[in-house]
Amino acid sequence: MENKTSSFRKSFFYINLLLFISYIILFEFILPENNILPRPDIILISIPALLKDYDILSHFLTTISAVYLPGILAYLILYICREFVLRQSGITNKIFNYFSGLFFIVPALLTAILMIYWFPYSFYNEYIFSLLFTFVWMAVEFHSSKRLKNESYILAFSSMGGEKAFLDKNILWNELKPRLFKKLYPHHLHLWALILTFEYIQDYYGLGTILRKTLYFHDFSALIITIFIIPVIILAGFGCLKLLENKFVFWEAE
Amino acid sequence: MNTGADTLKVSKITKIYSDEFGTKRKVLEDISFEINNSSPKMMSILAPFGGGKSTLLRIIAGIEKPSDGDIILNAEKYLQPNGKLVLIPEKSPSLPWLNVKENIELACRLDTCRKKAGSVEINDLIGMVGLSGYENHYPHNSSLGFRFRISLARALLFNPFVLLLDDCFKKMDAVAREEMYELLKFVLTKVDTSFLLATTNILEAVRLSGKIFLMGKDPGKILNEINVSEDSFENYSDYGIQKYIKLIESAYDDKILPGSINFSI
Repeated sequence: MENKTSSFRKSFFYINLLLFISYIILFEFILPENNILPRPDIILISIPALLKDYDILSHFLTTISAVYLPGILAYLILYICREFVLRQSGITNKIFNYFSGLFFIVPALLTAILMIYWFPYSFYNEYIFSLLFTFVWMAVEFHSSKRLKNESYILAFSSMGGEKAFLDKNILWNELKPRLFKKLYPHHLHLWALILTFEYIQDYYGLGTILRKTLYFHDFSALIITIFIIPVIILAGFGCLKLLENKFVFWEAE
Repeated sequence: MNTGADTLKVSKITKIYSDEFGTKRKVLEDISFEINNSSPKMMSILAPFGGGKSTLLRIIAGIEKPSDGDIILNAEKYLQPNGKLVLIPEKSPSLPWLNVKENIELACRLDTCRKKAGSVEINDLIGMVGLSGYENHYPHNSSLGFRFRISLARALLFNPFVLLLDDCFKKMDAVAREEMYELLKFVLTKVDTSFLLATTNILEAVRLSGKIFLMGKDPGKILNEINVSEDSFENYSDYGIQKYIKLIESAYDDKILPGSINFSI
């Protein structure tokens, strides 16, 4: 199995290398200038312009912080409110379900557009949106995974005199954590897409704004570099999440 | 330590469940028995699958309310679990995010536990269940036997009068099961706690118990109490076991009258 993975990685690396070399040969020396991909030397010339004129570094940091900082904050808030979230039932339960529908069936994008309309030039707008979206998502996931809890933990500690608050605080939170983490991966991708779209529409700060500007100025090489950078950062984000999961949520939900 | 006056009285327990359409199903009917200091230290509830033995154990542990009847501990109704009657459920839960020592010490945070985390008694318990050297081991990939040892140590932290074991050995392989029988035999000599094991396994009940409460199903009720000779664990033989199995089977076939039977191998 390990050999298979390693040979797959090797092949993946060689295919990419081959594609890269073919791109340089084809687009630098053989093909005329076109709208499919820019010439490699123009890309090299565009990098200083991206750093200086577009100020890509600060936009890059804005987007990264808008995705990850509210994520960390949402997790901390959920940790503090875990007993409250777990206690919800009946009407609040329905509100939770409605919220999950609002945020996933009716796209969260509509909420984003409204926020952009209300606060068009607010730097913190996307942070608030990201925090709201991530917290609601986490709370709903956490609350709905409650039904999958392992009854034996509850039975054993209840018979020792464990009250509900003790069980929620010391057992259920940790028990449900692996389920929450497993669902974090698709949510991470979803959040990236939303934040980029948010920035694109707001046209104020972030990588989404850079994409909009490169299109506006027909700056093809800058657009291609930005498009290349974004998936690389998302993949790095996935790697970080995996590391965190291996370190802090090393057990499987039973 | 338990005083000599402990008595657990299970008095006329009946449990009826209703489904969403209002259809009622009687799971337990009029179950009564008593466990006191003169009872054998290891007893079994032997019942077929779906006989209601897990429900009965949950009711005894105070986690579930009966539809009728009472659990009386030392002449008082046992309404709220307080660590005197501790349940180890079928899956022998050990928390995978805590190591062995933390798993046991978590129970010290409960108001009902009088032991302090880090005390010598906890180390003694870890040693008694055979987990010395594994204090920092995480149980998430461990065997059922390993998890049972953790659950057992945690439960014994409370010095319960009766420890309720809900078919804990059902999913273990034969070797692990033998190890657990030996462990129970050893622990029984070290603690004052009585053990009440719910099982579907006749052989297990006969080998481990001094008394067997034979339960029927639909609804679950006690058919017979069978007193097994104390040395059946040490000196059991295939012949003796077969006699018990026949006896129990005939009880299920209504060939013997309800009541108490004394039997020795």
